[in-house]
Amino acid sequence: MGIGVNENEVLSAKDLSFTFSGASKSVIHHLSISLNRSEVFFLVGPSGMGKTTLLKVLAGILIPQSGEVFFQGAPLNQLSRRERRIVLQRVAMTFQRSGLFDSLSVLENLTFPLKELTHLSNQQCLDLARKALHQVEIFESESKFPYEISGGMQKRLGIARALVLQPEVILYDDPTAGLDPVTSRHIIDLIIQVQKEKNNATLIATSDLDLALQVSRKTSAKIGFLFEGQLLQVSTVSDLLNSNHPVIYQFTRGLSEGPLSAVDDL
Amino acid sequence: MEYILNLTKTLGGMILLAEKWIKLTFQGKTRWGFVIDQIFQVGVKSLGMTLIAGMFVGAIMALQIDVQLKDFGAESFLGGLSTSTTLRNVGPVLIAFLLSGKVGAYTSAELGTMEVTEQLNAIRLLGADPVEYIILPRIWAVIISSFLLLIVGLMVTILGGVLFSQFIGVNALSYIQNIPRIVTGWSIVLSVVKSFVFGTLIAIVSCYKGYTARGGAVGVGTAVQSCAVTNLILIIFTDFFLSMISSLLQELFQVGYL
Repeated sequence: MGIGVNENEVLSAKDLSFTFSGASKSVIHHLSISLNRSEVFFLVGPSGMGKTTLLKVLAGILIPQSGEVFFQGAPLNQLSRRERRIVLQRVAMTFQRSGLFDSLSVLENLTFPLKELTHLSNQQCLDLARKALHQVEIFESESKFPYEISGGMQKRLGIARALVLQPEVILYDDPTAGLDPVTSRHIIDLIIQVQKEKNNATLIATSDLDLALQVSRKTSAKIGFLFEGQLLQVSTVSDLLNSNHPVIYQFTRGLSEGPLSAVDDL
Repeated sequence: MEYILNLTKTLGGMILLAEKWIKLTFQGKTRWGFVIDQIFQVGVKSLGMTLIAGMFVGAIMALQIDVQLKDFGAESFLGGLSTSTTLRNVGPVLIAFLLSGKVGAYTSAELGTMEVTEQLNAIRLLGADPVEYIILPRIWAVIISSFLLLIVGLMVTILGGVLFSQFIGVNALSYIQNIPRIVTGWSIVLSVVKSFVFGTLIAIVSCYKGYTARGGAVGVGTAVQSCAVTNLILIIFTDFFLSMISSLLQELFQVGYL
């Protein structure tokens, strides 16, 4: 992981700044990041520091006020709407609040993007959707609606929907949020399994250091610490755990006293 | 100052949404299959409520006008006066109020929930425009549903007046015969125009409020509340202006006064 352009780079951003309409302070502040092919990258940091916003900017959902997002070296802002749409199909994202279409069944949630974005026949769409459901092991629930399945299954469905268009990059926004430890473990295993099978570049935003530790044991993951819209450190997980930066030190050890407490008090 | 700023922002946002709706429609982007699904969701399910409300609006108008006509011994005018007043003003406004409560609240709550649960972001992630995919069919569905429900509701108000006239001692046949003596084509045109305009207002306001909802359950609640208030104010405001324009045009072209 590093800043700059290289042949392996699949998704990157340079000098990004993003401020929500009406807000006085920017959520992302002159941030640069790049993600290589087959790479697993963790984005950690306290809540409210811009992890979700950064993922949405990288996925093309939010447009930054300054800076540029590049997909395989092509700047997204300079592409036509049609080109941008084609490029963005190769970047998938799972949402913290599921983002599943609750008026569509589990199976339809997967066939919808296929029907809208590809020229596949109905049968081909159904076959691909069922294959993705098998992969995340929720094929028995294909006719149910998202609100009829458990939180863990909804996360699985979100991952299946991300996989169905065979993306080159998957962005996971807090994939274990609100799940019990056993279900979290299953989701983590699924993310690792998907990454190993598909070899996607994977960016996982989370406040859960334990998740980062578990995945980094099985993959050569890197980790970036996001604080007040800027990356304080990009390193291996073990380097982050040994960091002496006061903010990172407090966060990784879960201390109640430190600079993060001052941020909370504001 | 902040209130005026927010009001200007809301009105501007609704005008931009309306502009996009017209533009996308002319570009042939409307998915009529979704529109039909939505008409069933928001329209067909509101039919019962509209029929009941329409029936009682007609009855109330007949009762109120009869009380005043009795003082002048002019009960024979009940059918025409009651129907004219109902068609031109009270009917469209009252039924539009009811529809803004049911159809408008349903639409803004549904869209607001889609926004706060990131379903609209999932559409954006596909490189698609949520206005084209989600909002456009809903705007058309709410306009068509509201317009048709208002027309059906207005016809039922007439029936309500006819039926209730029996209870207050006015012969139903003379009630009906009196209607064409006072109700002109202009009244019907005005009623249809108001129904279309109110339907369009309910559609734009409820879609805009739902689409711009932020911040979880509280955000959806605020959006629905704001949708109801904005709809009521705009319906009353628009009714006043349409009635005023109608009076001016009637004077200008010397058409039937009532």
